[in-house]
Amino acid sequence: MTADCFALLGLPRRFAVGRAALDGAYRERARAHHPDRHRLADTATQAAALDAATALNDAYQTLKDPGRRASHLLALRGIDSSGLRAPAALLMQQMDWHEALDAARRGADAAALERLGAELRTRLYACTARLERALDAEDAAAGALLLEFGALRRLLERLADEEVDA
Amino acid sequence: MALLQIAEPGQSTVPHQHRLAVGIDLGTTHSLVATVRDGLPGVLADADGARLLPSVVRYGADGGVVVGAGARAALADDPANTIASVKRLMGRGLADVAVPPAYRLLDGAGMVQIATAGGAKSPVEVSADILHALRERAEAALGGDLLGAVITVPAYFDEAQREATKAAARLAGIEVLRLLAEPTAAALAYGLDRGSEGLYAVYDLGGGTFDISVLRLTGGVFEVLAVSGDAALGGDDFDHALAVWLADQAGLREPDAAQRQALLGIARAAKEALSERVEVPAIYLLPGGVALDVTVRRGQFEALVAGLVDRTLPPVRRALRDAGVQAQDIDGVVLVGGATRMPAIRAAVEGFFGRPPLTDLDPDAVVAIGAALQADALAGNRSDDWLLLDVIPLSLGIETLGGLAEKIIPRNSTLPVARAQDFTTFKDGQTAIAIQVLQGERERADQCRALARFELRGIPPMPAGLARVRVTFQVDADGLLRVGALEQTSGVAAEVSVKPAFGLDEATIVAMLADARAHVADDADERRLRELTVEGERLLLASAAAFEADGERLLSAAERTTLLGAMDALRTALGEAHGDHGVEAIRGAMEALDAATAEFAARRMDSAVHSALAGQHLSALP
Repeated sequence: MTADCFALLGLPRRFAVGRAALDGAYRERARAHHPDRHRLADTATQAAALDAATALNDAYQTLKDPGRRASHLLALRGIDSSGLRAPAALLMQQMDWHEALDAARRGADAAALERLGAELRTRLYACTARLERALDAEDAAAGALLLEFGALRRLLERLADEEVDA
Repeated sequence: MALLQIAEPGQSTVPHQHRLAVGIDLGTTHSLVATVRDGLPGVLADADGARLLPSVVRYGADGGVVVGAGARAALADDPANTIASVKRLMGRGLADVAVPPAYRLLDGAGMVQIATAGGAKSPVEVSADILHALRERAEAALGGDLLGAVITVPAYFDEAQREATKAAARLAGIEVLRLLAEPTAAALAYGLDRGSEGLYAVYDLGGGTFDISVLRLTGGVFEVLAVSGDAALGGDDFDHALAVWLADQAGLREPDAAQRQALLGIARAAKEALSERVEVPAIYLLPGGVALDVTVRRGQFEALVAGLVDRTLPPVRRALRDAGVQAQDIDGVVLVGGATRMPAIRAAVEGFFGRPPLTDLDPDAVVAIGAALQADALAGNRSDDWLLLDVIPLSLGIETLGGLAEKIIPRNSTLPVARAQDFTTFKDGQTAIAIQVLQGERERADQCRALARFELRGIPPMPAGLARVRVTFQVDADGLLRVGALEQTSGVAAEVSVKPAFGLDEATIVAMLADARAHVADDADERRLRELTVEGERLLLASAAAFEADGERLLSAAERTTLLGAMDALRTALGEAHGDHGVEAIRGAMEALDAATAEFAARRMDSAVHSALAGQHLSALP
């Protein structure tokens, strides 16, 4: 059984979530449930506050992150996204990108890294739009799109790590 | 605890009852205690008006403990028994100590211990002595018992360091209302001060730790987005770098402990002076008769510490990246910690963020002030509506087969946070599972910090792989971990026992508490014994004087023998007196002597009256 993060935060169950609405809903509920609010209460109330605040934080983090939000939408429909298999085309594409990243890094080629980053960001943008349409239409393609989305994000994170360490 | 249960949060059963709660900044070089009085937060000073308590404790062979300025003054003379910068040792093993202190560390498993004339001390006990001094200061200033305290910790403190801090508070008899991240406390002090909204970075360079936090302030909610830092970088390291250079200038290749301490003191003073001036003379006679005569220029100093300043920047970049913001998005940069007074730090921060940092609150006091505000709110003394949301600074994981670290709770998750993970048995009839919990970002278990080993027992015996033990890792608002386990198929709760890697296990803490209580009792006995000894000696002296004056005249030979025997008995009791037993012995001997002298005293009184009246006329009597 998956707890419905959308219901917990009082938001409609769909991929597009307004950040301001999400933040506002979270803050309002955090004020009520945070353990700091119940520091002098009895043990049972404190334990309940800890559980409620924990569930709320989890729901907020889940909905804040588009990848986790998409997985959660699938889970609510009974699809476990950790069991999804990437199509061969995506695997090939991923290998190409990783090779491009490694080559640019070996050559300390800042321009190539920048180019690759721009390409990945554009693709991520397009992928997100398609993912949103598929999820909201309950289209079976959503699973594969989520895998592509995840792969692009991991690559961009690797790129960002390079910049931080540089 | 009855006191804690009389009221629901926010509503006091006694109108206008103000609960005494304080904020404590337990720092590497100094500590502060602050409170809110009449709605205004302020740092509490000691009897001499000093606000900063040096975080230094000296242990004597006689069991004496000196905390603060008195202990710091002894650093050069008695470096082996005078413990400074103990915060760097909290929740740490011997192998973690990069810069060896002047005192001796004991080798052994778990948290490092310090050898002192007063016995081996855990960093937790040393910290407890500092906290105890702060508690006494607060109770003296506020005139009552504390409800509790908010104690600040570096945002980057891992779980073991937080547990150690909480254990120290327990030993000092302080109820912890919350462990609060230092930068969050500073942000609270600044944010409330200005009614700000927006994105803030808090750059906190303390005596021994460096923290960077990125926070968003919206409608009274202080949400930490990301923290990063270096738990082993602080002002101490700047002192150390300069001290090494000074030793070189004095021609000292291998300074001894006393010389090192002296050089560190000189380095610290020079560093502080260089924040105001461009050069300072350092002319001293070091222990061992070595002369130091050199002028330290700011440029020289900055060249020596440039590497240390640079070490703060990668964590800043990491925190911004984790928060998903750019340096130019930041609306304000708050500086915290005495070390941020250094112009080199201010310049580096300004250069990085492209804006001058905020420095209008005292960087030494701002953390304690923020903690006091939060303590006041948690104690239910105010109705303001702010909320502080801290994060877990380092990912929490478990060791998997093959020595890899599997992350369970990612860093920068808002607290409280929990994750459940299923484990199974790999042998038929297996009833126990051991889980090694780690904290850190590295891939391999041995590169992460081992926090604790949890043993789950009481799993119902069943074939291998059939048991499904759901283990819940819960990190509370203080950043402390609790583990619970439930076998899913049988619904049996597994018993969880914890062996902290660097912390103190419950049994050790309980033993220390019992020891502390015994000492408190010892102290009271000691005082009673001292008072009784004084009384006993006074009685003995008076009896002897009376005996000398009138013994022959007023007492029979048998009476004299009895009295001399009783006096001897008291003299013996006083001479041998120690501990609880001594108190009883002295009291018994005093009572016996009192009885033996009662008749003698009456006769002396009569005799005195007689001699006073002798030869006087009745008319002269009143």
